[in-house]
Amino acid sequence: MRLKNIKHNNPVKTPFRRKIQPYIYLSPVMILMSLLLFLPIILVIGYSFYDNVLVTPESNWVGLENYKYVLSDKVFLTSIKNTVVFVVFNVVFHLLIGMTLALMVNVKCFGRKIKAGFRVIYMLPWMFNATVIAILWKLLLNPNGVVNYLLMNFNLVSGPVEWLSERSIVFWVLTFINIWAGYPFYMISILAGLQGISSDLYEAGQIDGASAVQRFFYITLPQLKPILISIAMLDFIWTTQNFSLIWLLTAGGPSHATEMMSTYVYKTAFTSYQYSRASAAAVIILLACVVLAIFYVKNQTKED
Amino acid sequence: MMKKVAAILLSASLVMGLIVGCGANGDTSDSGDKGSDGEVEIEFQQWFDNEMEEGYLQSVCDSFYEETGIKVKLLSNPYADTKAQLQASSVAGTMADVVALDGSWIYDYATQGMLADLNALFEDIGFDTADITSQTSINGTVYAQPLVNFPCLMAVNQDLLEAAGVTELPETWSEFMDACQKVTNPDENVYGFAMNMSTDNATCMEYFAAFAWNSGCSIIGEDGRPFLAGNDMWIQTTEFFKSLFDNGVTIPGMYTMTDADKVQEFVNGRVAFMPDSVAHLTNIQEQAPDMNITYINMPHADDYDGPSYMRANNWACGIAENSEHKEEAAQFIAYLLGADVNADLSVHAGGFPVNATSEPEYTDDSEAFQAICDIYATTEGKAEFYSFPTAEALMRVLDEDLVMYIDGDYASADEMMEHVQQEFDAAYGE
Repeated sequence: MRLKNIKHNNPVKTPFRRKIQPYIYLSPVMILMSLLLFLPIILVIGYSFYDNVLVTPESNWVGLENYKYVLSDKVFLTSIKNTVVFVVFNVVFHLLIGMTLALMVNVKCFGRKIKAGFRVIYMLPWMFNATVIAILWKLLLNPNGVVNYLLMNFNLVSGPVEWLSERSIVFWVLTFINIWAGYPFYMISILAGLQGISSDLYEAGQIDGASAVQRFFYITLPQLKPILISIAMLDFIWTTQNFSLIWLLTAGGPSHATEMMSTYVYKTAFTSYQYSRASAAAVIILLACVVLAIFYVKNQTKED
Repeated sequence: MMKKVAAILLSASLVMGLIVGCGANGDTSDSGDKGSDGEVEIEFQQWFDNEMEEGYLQSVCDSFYEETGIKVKLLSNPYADTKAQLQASSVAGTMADVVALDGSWIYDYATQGMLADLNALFEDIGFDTADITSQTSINGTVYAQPLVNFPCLMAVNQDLLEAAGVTELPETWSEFMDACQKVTNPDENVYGFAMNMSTDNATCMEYFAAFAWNSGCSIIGEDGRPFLAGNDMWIQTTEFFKSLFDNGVTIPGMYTMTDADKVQEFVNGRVAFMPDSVAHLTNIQEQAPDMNITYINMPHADDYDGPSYMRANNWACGIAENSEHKEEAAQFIAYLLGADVNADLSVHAGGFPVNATSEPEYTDDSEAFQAICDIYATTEGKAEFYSFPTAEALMRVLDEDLVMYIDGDYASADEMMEHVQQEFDAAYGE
């Protein structure tokens, strides 16, 4: 038997060529990533070590001075405290509301059309952008708005409440609005997770005599855990960076009552022209987000 | 083989595209440029276009082109976006040739080297500024040229005053407080006074300062530095402002009220007095055609009988230091300052010309506009914050501390102003 002599079109690759080829293909993306992602981050980190940049003819190296200034600035410390409380409340309530609504629109006793209708209604806040949400809630919470009108008509308050101007309540009002704006993301993600849980598990649980509460805690929650961790971490990062809604509703005021790290950075950069201090504050936010991102990536890797 | 070649070509083209795209020199496409036919095109970044009749500013640019052969490309953004875009473009070296300027930005942009010396350029092109009534200079150099003046006065809803039995328009603080108290009726949702205090645009503090300015107060000391702490009339103004809140004549929600919110409350007939730019008059008349409106100057201290002052505001513009067509840009500004063009521009903008020889033909014959004209003719404008570095940030500090003082966080206006003074001094690097 004669073996057919197969002619190879490709000459045998050298180990070096084999190694380098994937990087050539990846080079456009790598260059883009470097220019659009890493370069700005590196520049901002660099700026934070100078006295001021961009608007000064000369920049002098000051080491950690900007970090010292920012971390001893009462307004920045207030903004950190506000941001932490804002983020924690948002993540927790997004999770609770999202879970509750997802379970509600996933029950079997309703028809498909009813469930679809409720899903659309509950999804609405996610459809609006920050500007629309801000205008909507400003109109509702105006001292002469619908909310005060209803409260006064039902004799629940004696006079108009200044929801967005009263320093003792404005932070919680803002938190409430952001919770309202963000829960649908959780609801949809959890709903998708619920629909992916095998009904065999519930049937087996039922046969074993598990109650509805036990089935929730021993089947539903463990099955949803990877999704819950992922969306909670993403929400943590997104809420930390939230700027538009806060700026449009209160601009961080009155008197820093709703000052967040994002509004602090904006004001420091664009009205005080202290770009290095703003960079230092931004780097601190970046570090917080990087820590969370590492947890997120680790969690994702574990899932894989 | 073909696939491999295609892949390599694709990769190479992407890399080349990146290099070419990212490495483009600002000289080629950023600010004004010479076209292939040798025509010069300059860019004009502003928010004016959005606030005037659609197409009007373009028609002015077209007329300029017909006269000079210089094309003007309009870059129009809302006011709120313009500042951030100017700052970003300045840093990137892509600033438009002619840029609109708010008074509170000029000091900083000038000291950052973003703006060119206007008078030197006007001299180069042979433009005589003798008829121009106002120019904004920093340390003796003119960096911004106002085009249209907009006095900021107190809008008055006369229907509410009449219903409350107020027959005389208030001139002093006591008369103003009295009128506000008579008008205020929380059961009917009607209040005496509304002023925007949201820190999203802290220049609202100039309305607060106008109470002091019209009482003869100056917040600039003899050394040219801010003079707030220990300034008697300034302290009295602060106490008077707080008394408006203490007497319940201010509309609820003022701390985070924006300019637009304030105008809306006025238009809805919920407030009798509102300090505001007269630029809003047309808008107010359109939204509340039946409202009987007039304007007064900001009330002054009871015992003051000196000259009157009002908050001055304007649409100004400057020329970018990095512009390659500074002379053409100067020609464009000179064109806008011409007697006829400036008059027409003022009519369309609803303001007043800066060229003393302009004769605008206003079509608005309302009592409100006549009142504005009368006050403008007899009152000097003041805008003292604009001579301070980081003026907007400083006004924000004042705004925040004022809220704290009104809420009782400071024991006295003196104590509050001591703190504000420290912040203002810090802006000078002390």
